[in-house]
Amino acid sequence: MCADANIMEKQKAEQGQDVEATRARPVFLPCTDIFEREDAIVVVADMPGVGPEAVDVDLTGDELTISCRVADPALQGHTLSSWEYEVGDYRRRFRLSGGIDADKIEATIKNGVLEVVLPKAKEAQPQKITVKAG
Amino acid sequence: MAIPIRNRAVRQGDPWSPFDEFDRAMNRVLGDLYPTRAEYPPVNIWTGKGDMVLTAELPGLESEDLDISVHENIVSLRCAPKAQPRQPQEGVTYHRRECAHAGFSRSWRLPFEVDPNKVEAKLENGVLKLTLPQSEASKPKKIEIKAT
Repeated sequence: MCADANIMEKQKAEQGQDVEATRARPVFLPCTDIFEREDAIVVVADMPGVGPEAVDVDLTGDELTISCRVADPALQGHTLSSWEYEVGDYRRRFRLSGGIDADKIEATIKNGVLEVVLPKAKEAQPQKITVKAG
Repeated sequence: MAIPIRNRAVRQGDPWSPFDEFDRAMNRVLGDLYPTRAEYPPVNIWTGKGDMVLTAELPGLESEDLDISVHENIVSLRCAPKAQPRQPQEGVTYHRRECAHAGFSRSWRLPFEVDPNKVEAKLENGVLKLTLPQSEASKPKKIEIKAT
């Protein structure tokens, strides 16, 4: 949930000049927390309106792409009389620093919050070296 | 403070802006037609036959975190700060923090009295849908004219 003054409102993703979405609807950058644990990097993105069937998480090389589709928000028999937010899809890309075990990536979505756990590859994890007294 | 439903025309307030004085004057004249700053959470309001539906994006919240109340034509939505999930964990390094974890409180004045027994609230995938039906007692009654 974005309550910071700078990112309070949903930010529209920039459409590339050469590639456009086929569906004419806004695409937003989800507010994202990224933190690093000893064993993994965790990406947590706010994507209200997204169910588990509409999430697409993709890692190509060192680029992580999150893209989600949101169902049409129109309510039958109702007209929108006042709006403060827009509904659209979400897409965001992050460049990872590498050393991720791509086979063990796990993504879960709950209450409109996506959590992607990117486990660090064995060789990237800190190895504790015991110093022996000589 | 109850904020009546209105169209969005949000602008951050600047105390030295000559337009703010104009805004205040306009607010006095037009009531609460123009909000002076963005409120959280942003809400969309849908009007139907005999009811209004309020939708809000509240990612990460569980239904028990929310406190919704209806009194006559005032609808309030609250979330206590302590109910916010995702507290900072120990032993982690943050690369990026964009998601905030503050509580909020907002209320709206509807153009009709709500039947509190028929209010429906649904929280699905982080989107709240609050259906507020008009109470029967406040609906206009058609008066038959008797022929004499």
